Amino acid sequence: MIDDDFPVMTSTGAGRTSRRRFALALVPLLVGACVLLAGSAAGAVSVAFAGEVPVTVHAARVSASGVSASPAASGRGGLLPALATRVEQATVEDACVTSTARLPVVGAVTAVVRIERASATGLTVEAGKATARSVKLSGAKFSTPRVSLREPTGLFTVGAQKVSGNTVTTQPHAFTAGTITSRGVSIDVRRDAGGCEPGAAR
Amino acid sequence: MSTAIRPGRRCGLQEWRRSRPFAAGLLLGLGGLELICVSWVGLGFLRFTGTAGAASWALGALFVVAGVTTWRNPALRYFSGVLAAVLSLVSLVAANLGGLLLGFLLTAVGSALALAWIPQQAPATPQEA
Repeated sequence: MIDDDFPVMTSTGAGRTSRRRFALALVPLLVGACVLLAGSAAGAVSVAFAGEVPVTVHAARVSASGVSASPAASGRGGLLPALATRVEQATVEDACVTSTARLPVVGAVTAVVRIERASATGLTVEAGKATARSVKLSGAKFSTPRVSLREPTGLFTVGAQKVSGNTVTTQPHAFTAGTITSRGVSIDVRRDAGGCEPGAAR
Repeated sequence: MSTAIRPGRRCGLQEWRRSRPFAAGLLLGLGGLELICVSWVGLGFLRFTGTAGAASWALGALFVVAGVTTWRNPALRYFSGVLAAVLSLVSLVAANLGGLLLGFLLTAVGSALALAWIPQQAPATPQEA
């Protein structure tokens, strides 16, 4: 019925897979993938991520520019109150990211990612909790949309041109980033519900 | 009556599978769906968040289209295979590390299978022993 499937009329309708051609096609692909992954691990290639995973982030030093934050709700159905923070450019040093997943058969599995230095652009984080030992702001601003004199008509927005903090711990509900470049990454997966302690990034 | 039809249908399905790069199209489609599922599970339904979220959906859709193309028109297998091979590398950096590497592996193997498939040529003389 579908005759246009085979414009070459010499074919009999059946076909086979050439192992030699398969290897010739697959090997360059895998080599290219290895180069990209190695470049990503070395910080030469930026990798884009978007996700909504339960993670805890500890960072010895955080610096960001173009920061604005306002209350929001995150999670499916918007049930979780969160602070939505938009950052134009951010850099973290000596960071440790932990995420625990409870799998049906295996049980609790914790992934611990230690990062020597990472930078991100176009970062949006919806965080439910954030603590820091010290924070330094420059060019801070605060605004509340108000069209009547009696009460505000919208959510407040706080922001700063530059923000830096030490010993920061946060639990982001969701994040998006245009690009993330990292250096000195080590990943450890273990079968328990532990995490990394503050200051133990290295 | 139905038992007489079933072997014919099965035979027809087998002929249909043999007459095109079936495994290549299947892997390309599965890889594309995996890219979308990783973005879907991580972000919530239809939340196009950031470049990686949008890229996952766009690349996933392109992989599914490439898979369907290899099934519907095997003569275009080189085009869809090369396109899928390039896009599988793009997915590594643009779509959550190629759907946490699984989507990349599926689409890379699928594109290689599409490029390696050879239609069986008809013999020069139609008379066979």
